[in-house]
Amino acid sequence: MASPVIVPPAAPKAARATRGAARRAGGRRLLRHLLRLLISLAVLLVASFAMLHLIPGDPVRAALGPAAPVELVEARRAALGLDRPWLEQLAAYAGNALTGEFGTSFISGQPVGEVIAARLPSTLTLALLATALSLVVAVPLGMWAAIRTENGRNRGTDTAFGALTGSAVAVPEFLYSIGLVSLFSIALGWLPPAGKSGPESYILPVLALAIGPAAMIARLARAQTARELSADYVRLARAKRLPALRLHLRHVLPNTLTATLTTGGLLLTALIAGSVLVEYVFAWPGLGARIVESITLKDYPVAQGVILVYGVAVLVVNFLVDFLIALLDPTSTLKES
Amino acid sequence: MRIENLTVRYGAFTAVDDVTLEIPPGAIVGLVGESGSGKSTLARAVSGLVPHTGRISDGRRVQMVFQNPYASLDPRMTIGQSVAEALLRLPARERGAEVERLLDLVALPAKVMGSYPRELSGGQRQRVAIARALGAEPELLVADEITSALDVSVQGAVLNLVRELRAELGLSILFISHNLAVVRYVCDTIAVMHGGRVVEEGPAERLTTEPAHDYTRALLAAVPRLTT
Amino acid sequence: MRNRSGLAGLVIVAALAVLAVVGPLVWGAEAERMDSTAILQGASAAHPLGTDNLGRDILARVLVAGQFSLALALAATLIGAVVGTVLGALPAVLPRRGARLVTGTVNALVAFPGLLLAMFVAVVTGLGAKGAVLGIGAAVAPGFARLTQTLAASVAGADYVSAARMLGVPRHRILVRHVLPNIAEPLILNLSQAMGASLLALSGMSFLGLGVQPPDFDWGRLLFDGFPRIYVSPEVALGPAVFIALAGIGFNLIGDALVKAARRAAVLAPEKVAAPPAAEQERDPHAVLEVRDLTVTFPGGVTPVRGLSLAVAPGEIVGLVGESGSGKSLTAAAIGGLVPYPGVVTSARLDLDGELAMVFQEAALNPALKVGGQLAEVATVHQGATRAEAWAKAVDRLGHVRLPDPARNARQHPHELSGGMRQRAVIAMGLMGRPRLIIADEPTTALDVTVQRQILKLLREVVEETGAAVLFISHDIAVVGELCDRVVVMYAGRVVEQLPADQLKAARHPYTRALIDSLPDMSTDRSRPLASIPGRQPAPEAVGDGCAFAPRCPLATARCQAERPPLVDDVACWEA
Repeated sequence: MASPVIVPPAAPKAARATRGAARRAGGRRLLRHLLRLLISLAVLLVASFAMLHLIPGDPVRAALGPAAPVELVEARRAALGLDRPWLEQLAAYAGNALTGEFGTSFISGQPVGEVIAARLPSTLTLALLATALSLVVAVPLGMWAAIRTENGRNRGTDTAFGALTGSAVAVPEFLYSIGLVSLFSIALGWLPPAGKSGPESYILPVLALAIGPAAMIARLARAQTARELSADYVRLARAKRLPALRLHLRHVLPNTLTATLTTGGLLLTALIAGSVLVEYVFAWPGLGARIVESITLKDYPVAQGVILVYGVAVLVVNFLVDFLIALLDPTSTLKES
Repeated sequence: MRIENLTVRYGAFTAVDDVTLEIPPGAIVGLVGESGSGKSTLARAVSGLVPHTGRISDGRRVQMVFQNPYASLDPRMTIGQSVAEALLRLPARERGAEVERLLDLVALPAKVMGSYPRELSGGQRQRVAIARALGAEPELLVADEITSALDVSVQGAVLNLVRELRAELGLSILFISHNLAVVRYVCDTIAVMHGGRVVEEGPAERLTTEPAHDYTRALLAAVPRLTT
Repeated sequence: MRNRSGLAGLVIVAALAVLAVVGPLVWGAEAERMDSTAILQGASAAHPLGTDNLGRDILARVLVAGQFSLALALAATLIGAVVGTVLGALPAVLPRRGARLVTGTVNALVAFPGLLLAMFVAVVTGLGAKGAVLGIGAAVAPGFARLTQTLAASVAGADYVSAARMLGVPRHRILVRHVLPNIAEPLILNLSQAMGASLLALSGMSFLGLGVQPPDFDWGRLLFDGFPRIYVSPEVALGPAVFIALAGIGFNLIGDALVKAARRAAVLAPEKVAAPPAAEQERDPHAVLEVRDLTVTFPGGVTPVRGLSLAVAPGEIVGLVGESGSGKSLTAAAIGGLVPYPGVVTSARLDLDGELAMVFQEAALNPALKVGGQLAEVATVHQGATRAEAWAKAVDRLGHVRLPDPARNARQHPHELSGGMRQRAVIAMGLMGRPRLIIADEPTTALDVTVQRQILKLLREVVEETGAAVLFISHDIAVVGELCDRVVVMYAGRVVEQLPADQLKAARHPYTRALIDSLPDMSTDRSRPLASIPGRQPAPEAVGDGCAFAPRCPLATARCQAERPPLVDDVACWEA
């Protein structure tokens, strides 16, 4: 040991905050996000209630057509509660919605809650599989492209990656669906063209739904990785002569992932909407086909219920993404958003 | 000009804590401290950019020159247009000549009027920022770390300029820096800030030779020196 | 390369625009002509893409539909852009509560996918183009609002806006002269992408039968009509599908190219530089580092380091000092083998005797990993230590650089430590091995002076204890003068002088002297002006044949302009 007089370095503000305090701050943040989620859900509930009331004229008459007898229209109006004051209606609607009660279909007479319960699992499976597939493929692909083209190396890869993902992002999922069906079902006959049967029936819909978001996430991951690669900590890690694999997986990946998810999270909600189109093409027994049908046929209770479910899905996905980022990012517990 | 009991709070955090400071006419008062000492917040409060409590008497015409010369000029405006913004009170036809005079004051040729900030070096941009501030005929010029983004070889010229402007225009200047040697060279009196408070204040020569406060002593001891 | 894809996008979109204008004029009649003898046909010579249920030619209808498809997308985009920009600008003028409400609403809406909002609107307005356009417009708006908000906030916080406010420039003038011009460009760039997205979303709505209704038709509607027939004659869906995809790709390519063009500077083509064979010269047996004729070249004749020679003795602290652009950091990178692609390093000799450690600024710690792990991996990777051994060693080294609680600090993330503690940790990382040379690149630049002093002291202690040599790179000649045994001064990629640190005040090179004189210290005469150096250092591609400092030098002669002075007797100057 050298000189005996040592000035101890001052403890920083952040370090003075104990682990407990950090955890409390993280807890507060989680609570705030939860609160925001609840408010958003309430607003969404009001919006879906208002939807029916924003329809110009009488929605029941519009749905049943001019030829329908007056008694039937009146009975339907009463069943929907449209003859009561609107605040009372809202209260009833909210109360019912919370218990999974969304009225009955104009067309089939089936309770909307049952329709949703029967069809939601199919939609969820599709969306989750597509999410998993796009993340698993896109993040490594984007990182690989960034590492290969660092500082302008490998122009060929750069051009190919840019053109491929750029085009893939710009083609909508319904075209992927039609293209995949044409090729693999009609031309080659390898896979079923529609419906949900065995595991092989999942392949095409999941692919169609995943390609677009995967391309977008790959681009984000690449841009973010490129940024990370020029960061000081990478220079330091290189100076430590770490093997490339360790440098990229242990040092770069965690940083890339947080930032990619922050922007990529929104894509997962886009995927929820995309599932409507994909389900329509593949006649998938999920909510997507049902919502299209209900809007076309003016089956308002079904449309209202299903749109509400989609809205809730979007809000919950956002909440989960925020939560995940908070878990991944070591600085986030102390950082106020 | 006199700053009395000035306090700036950000939520529960007190950045500037009850600071009282006198800036006599024609004097250069230095403000030194480390990051987080509150010196830059004080500068912004005096310039009216940050809400604060306390009194600033005779502080009507204050102009500030910022630390980063790359951010303080609008990239889409020519140098002439940027400086002319300080001269809106003049009729449009008189502004050109006045801009020229101001640029001359900071030793820049008139031909830079048509240039954009990106065509100028950091030192030149800092001169433009000073010229713009002078255009408003300030009673007090606040200079916030104006040389810390500059290379050493340019820094000397900007410091000389600050001293010349005081000599020629009798300008009062609040000069903020983390560099005690720079502050000692430029300023008449020095105030040392630590944790949002002024811990010591006095004539530059005395404060740097006979510091009274422990923190001032620590700062002085930390100044790197060339051995001879 | 990317410009080429932008060009491709431009060509596609221009072609579509021409089609939109010309299509209905040329094929309008053909698209409406019914033929009861040719109902629901597949491809034929007369009807390359077949016919629809009324015997109308599908190809003609696809070519005509371009106008309506693009017009609807344009309408939705404009609605979205106008509403969004207004929404985004509102928080700037509203009182705080109103502003927060608008911001909150926008933030919530941004998350909602366009199709969902469009379906919501479709329920309310009924099926048709109007509902779809309004819905998609509503979906585009939050994106623009968010962008406007972020941009406006960053511009409003800019120093030049603060300066204008202090000058008493009126609010409306600040908005018009400063804020709007600086946010307009990115907003306009965003239009192209929004246009593509609108077109795809509208096509999607029509494809679901929720958008355009007969007798009107857009590409999405044609796809809706053709879709049930793809099992029999897939070609009927081909036309609209291709055009939708083309339009989407075209707008997206343009958008990408615009964004990139706004962002990036020209990248020069790489160029091969052959390394000269290392001349066999006598090696200095006492040096831990010996560098001769080190040159770093980048494509385009950019040569930031030019024939630099340097030797460091064991246990010696050498300062490498220079202003930004002098090549000092690239010299360090070249010695450490860290010059980024496409830089090319050549040298007559680059000998390093023993292990090298590099120390950077404290910000160089990986923010995502625990401090201890970042140290420990050096031992697991290079010394074959087990994880437990490596961790123990990391804690030991952290204690060595006198972190207050090494065991706890090792488990912390970098942001939980102060700047000075982080800098200590970075030094500790260098001490995980047994370095004979430590290269420290501006390790104290971001630190406060009192902390800087502690770090300098620590470095000296490390040298005394380990016997390692230090190459200390800094722009601050005072710091270098205080810490180092010997100082090497760089200018425009070359060494102009080297001298013992205690001789700095007696420097011979006019540049070194000017550097020292322009830097006030605690004994500077306050009654005299500081020295300053007119002009600026030449850029690495603009260094001429003569002395690079000559244009700024008070002593320069004709010889200095023409002929470069070699480093003789530790100084490179004809006049010294």
